[in-house]
Amino acid sequence: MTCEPWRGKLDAYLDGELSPAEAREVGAHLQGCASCSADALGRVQIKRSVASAGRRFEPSAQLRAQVTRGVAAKRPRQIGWQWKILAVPAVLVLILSVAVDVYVSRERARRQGVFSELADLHVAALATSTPVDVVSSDRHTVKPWFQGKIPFTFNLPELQGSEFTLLGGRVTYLAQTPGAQLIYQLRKHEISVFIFQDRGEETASLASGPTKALSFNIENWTQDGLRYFVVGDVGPDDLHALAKLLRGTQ
Amino acid sequence: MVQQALAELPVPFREILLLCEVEEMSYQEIAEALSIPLGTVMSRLFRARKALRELLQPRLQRGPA
Repeated sequence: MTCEPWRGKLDAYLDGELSPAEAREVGAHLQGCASCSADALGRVQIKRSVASAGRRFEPSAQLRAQVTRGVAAKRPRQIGWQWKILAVPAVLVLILSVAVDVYVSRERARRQGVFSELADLHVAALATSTPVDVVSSDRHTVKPWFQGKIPFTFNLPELQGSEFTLLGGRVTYLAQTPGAQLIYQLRKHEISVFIFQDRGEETASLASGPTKALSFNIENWTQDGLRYFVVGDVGPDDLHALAKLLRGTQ
Repeated sequence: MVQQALAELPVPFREILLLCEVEEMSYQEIAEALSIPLGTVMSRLFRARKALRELLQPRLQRGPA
């Protein structure tokens, strides 16, 4: 009975949807509770099985527009449920909780790695004498410049009436995938907008929303098969205002 | 076995599970994609996983087909 509140958080914990503080609390509980550790490991096994078996299903027409594809037929994983009807020896607590911790930590590290790399790309671009290869505040000049340089296209927002100014753009790479980097100015601050196809493992597993890396604020989302990242040293509200403008153009 | 169980789930349950586990979308992304509140995403995911477990449990206890 006392574990019910923790059980209620397990799915969100394994989905990476808890705040860092809550995740630490759940992780600490798992290290001391055999029953919850076993439950968490069972849920991890189901998650992996669904991730594997679920690739055989095509999304409905309604969903297809929202979801990037990467369907690969895989043999469903066999789950060993027999352990669920056995008493879990106390000695397994540590092993189980470590397995869950490794899973959660690896996912979190992978996500943080991408955000750190984007922050690096942002800093590196601004540190050069030519941060942008196409220098223009006209979106009708910047967008066509990318034709033939990256394998997708995108729309840029009308900035009239906003505080943002487009400085230009350049081609960039994330995990060997080409993408667009656009640099905007807000007051004295430069903000990078990165756009990539949302099909690489590096980006496809990221949770949308605001985050931080190397003290930069970052907001990311998926739209029409593209993954957008807005990176800058401005506040999250300013970043969100630019993100909102970009979302409105697609 | 899991594939068969997924096929037997109601479509809203199957879709939300696939968005979460296969597409690895966040709750927020799913809410936006399906135009439903975040709380609905969480409750639907919970019910979908529960339904999947209930479908799988007797089959797993019987052993692999």
